[in-house]
Amino acid sequence: MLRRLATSPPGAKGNSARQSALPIRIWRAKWLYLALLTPVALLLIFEWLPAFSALYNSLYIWNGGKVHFYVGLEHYERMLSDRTFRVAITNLVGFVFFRVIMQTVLPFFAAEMIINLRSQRWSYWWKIIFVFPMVVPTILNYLIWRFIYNPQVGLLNEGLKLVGLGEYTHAWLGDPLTVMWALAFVRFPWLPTLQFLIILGGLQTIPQEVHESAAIDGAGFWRRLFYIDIPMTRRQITLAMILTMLFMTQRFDLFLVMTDGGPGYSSMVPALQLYQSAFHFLEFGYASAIGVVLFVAMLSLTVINLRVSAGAAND
Amino acid sequence: MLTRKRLRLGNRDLPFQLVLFAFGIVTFFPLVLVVITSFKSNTQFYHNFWLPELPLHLGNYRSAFRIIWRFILNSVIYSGSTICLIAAIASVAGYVFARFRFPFKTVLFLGFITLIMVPGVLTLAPRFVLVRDLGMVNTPFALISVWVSGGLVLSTWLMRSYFESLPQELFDAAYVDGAAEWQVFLYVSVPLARPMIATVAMTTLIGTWNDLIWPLVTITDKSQMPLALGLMQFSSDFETDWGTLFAGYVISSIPLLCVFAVAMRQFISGLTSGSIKA
Amino acid sequence: MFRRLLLVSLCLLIFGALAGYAQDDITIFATVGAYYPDEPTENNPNPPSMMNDIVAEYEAANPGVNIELVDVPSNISGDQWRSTVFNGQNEPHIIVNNYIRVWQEQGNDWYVPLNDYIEAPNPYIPAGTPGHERWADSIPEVVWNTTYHTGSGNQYVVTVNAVAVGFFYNIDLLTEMGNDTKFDLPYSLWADWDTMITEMGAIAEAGVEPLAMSMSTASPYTYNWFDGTSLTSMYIDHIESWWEPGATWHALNQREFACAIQNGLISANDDAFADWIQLLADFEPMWVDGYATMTWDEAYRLFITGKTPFLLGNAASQTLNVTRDADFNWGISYFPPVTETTSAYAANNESAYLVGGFTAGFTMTDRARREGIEDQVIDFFMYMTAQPQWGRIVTESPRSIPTQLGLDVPDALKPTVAFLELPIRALKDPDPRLSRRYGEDHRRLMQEYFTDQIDFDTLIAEEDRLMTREARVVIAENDWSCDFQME
Repeated sequence: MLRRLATSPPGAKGNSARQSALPIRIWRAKWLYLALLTPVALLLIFEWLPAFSALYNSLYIWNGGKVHFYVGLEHYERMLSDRTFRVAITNLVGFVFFRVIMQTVLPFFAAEMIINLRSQRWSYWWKIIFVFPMVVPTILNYLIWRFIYNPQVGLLNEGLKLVGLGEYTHAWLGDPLTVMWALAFVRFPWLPTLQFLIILGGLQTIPQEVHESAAIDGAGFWRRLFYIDIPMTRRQITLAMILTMLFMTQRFDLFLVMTDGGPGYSSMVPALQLYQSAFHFLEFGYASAIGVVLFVAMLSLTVINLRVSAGAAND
Repeated sequence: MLTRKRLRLGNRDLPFQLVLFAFGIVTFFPLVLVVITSFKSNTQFYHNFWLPELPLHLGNYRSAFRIIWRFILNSVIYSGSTICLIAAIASVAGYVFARFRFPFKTVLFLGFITLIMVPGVLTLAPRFVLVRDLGMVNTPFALISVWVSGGLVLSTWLMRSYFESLPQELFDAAYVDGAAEWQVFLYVSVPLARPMIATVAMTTLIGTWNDLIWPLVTITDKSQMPLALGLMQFSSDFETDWGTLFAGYVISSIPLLCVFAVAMRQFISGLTSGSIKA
Repeated sequence: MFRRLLLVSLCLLIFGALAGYAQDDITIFATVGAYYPDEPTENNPNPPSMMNDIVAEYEAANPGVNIELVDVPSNISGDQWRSTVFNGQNEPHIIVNNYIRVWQEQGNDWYVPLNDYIEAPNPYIPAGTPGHERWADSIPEVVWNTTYHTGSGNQYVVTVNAVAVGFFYNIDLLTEMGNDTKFDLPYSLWADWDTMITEMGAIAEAGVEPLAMSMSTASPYTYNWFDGTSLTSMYIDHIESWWEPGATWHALNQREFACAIQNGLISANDDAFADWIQLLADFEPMWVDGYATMTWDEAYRLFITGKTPFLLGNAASQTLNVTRDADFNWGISYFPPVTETTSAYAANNESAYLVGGFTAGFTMTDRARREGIEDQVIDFFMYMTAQPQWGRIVTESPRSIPTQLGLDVPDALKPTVAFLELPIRALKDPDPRLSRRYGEDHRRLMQEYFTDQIDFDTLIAEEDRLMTREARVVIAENDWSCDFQME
């Protein structure tokens, strides 16, 4: 039975014209469902159940303990008039925008350089070198970046003094004008492993002949970049952007460790507000509502991103 | 050879090498700082964070190792089981999603992939209640079950992409030889997918090795604590033993480095196979 | 085949059940805060370990009872740990707690009231020592009065720690800068708040940042201490009318403060309130650059490396660290009083007010009640906090001054005893004054004002809105009546 399914090849190449009735198709696929039983059960129990209970709690006032009563959409209404949430969204949009650009452009250029190296051996070593820092725990990186931005003994200020730009020294994290920039540059110019390797993979799969014929046509580095490499790795780039967007939107530990959202609200982001509502103020209902809104926003952005990318590919 | 053919633009490696070198230096800077700090006493740490200073306090490593080796063992067991389970489950699931058509496939797959967008901090409290109700608090199952299900999201997708990119002819040949589906999976697909399995293993390892908050709430029994909790030993309410803490971080990354050394090539080739895209 | 399997599993099941039945050991989980026994390291060869001895002694004397000490991170993960374990009903039976926190979480029934237990004798306190006949007698009345929860009328915490805060100062650095300030008061370098501002201002003029402190909740932060103590000074003439009937000088509880707002006895639109904001704004230039996001540890490093002459810190616990780490002569001073030279509203101030005071103690959680082992838990509780045991703990690890009668102040903490004799400040840190939400938003508003993101009028308007709202919420949540304040 399975054989038949498999040899009428998988994926999109199927012959939808002679599909049987749904129950029959389900029955035929019973072994497949059985194979998926473990992961689906695990995800249902440990991922979807908590997620849905968060959705449910977003309609309640819940302090994590005894107090638990229904308030309908009140939390969502409150979000509309919540100054903190508004500021948080604004901060997040700028931050994510910047990080998406940075975490796509940097890996892209690094990957370009690496695959263009004539030395195969170096090309291999550079990959390893740029992947290696993933063994350092994130929290340690934050700790070190606190030192870099430290106003009194920080590397950045000391460096500025060294090159005679002493008047630009700054409490980078303590000034509302610089704090979001400082946070956006944390770990610069580190290459996010996943995104870097995905883009590198995309570039590697561009066929030789394409580059060769471009070279024969006299295309220089930049022309080749814009007319061949970027269009042909569009799907990898899109993915890298989406992943960065998703990861950065959910990121709160960076803000918690570096600034706690301050000074004032100038580095507050929704994920941190969610964290604080839940674990500082015991407003689990409101926290859940923020989480639900974040989820919906991420989902729609992902879908839009995919659509735009697909649309551009069709042009 | 390929690369040489690829660009007939003379010796252009040097500028690239220089830029990459600059990149590399800055990227590696935090690592170097961790190592430097791990040799310092608190006084040295307070007075000078940036430069190494004599005398080197090798004793930091002795102290750190004496305290955290048990936690490292625990972590090896927890992360190891998690990796094995994820590799097994995600390969099967990825294979099924990649190679078959069946009703509700898209819905099921979306059920996997959209979980990437659920903020973890949002589900912490409900998930903890659940795990407690299942009686798993203070047992390795609390960690492994949740790590496995959390890791499955990304892993299944990676495996699926990889299996989809394998050419159909490979499978056809096996079917013609009369292989059953499970044989095709086990003897053809899995060996071919080794790079991606390595990728899945590495990402799972990194994700579980340093996870702090979930073990913190589920494991209170000291003999069962994983590494990330063990490292908390070095900071108390009023002070942190920085040198020992950083030495602990260095020691705790040694198992990672070993795995890295073994699986590096596969890991990189898995992710750079070009199969992964939007 | 199947039958055999069934038989084997049945046997296993019965065996397991028997084993479970035979073993009815009680395990008591407890957090002990700074007294948690760490393992020695090269840099810290003698960490506190007395708690291990206490536990071992108790376990030996009480077969069948296991005590498990739980290490809880003091950093940001602590909050997550706390609400998750309580929410999941997996909290330790005994938790180190500040009475203020307990008040805030009071609506949850997370803690067991100790009213009856503290009236009973504590068998572990030797005859002739206070507390032997009645456990409550082992701790001074003033402590109980401070920690008592008005809303429910319950005592939830046995407070065993007293702490004081203070300015650590670098004598060498000050002398080098030509500053020859001497102790003007038994406890402070400066006669009044203005003198302090002037002298720190002179230091700042000379190009040295005067005061290392922190205003970020990313770690324990110290700004709070000015906030409450100076606000107390501004309302000194009125605070008595906010008290519940029959009270003497005390740290106001949430209800008294919330009702004062509700009844219009204090408002952000007051002139006294404006004076208070001004006082803090005049002080702000003395704070080290980047204070808004600075951690406790970073501030400490600035002081210890001689970058700033002053550090605002926890005089009780940090004294040990400074003693060990400082390579210069140093001393500890307290806040000077806010007097009429600073504001007309502080005219009747006689002294400064004590920040800190009776802070941490132990609570018994609802888990003890759920598991029906309150008696065993309270027995260990009594054992641990009884003078013979607690005395050994604080002698070994002098992180705070014991409140129990009959115990000596550890030598290392003697310099701070003079601070503890000051009257306690009536208005506490922003969080415990009203609510944690108020505390955080208030701190953020002040930061916005200090960093020129908002002007004075906006600050007052926002602060007014915040105070009114939070007072209303707190009163509604607890179902309090505010009639007591209206004569």
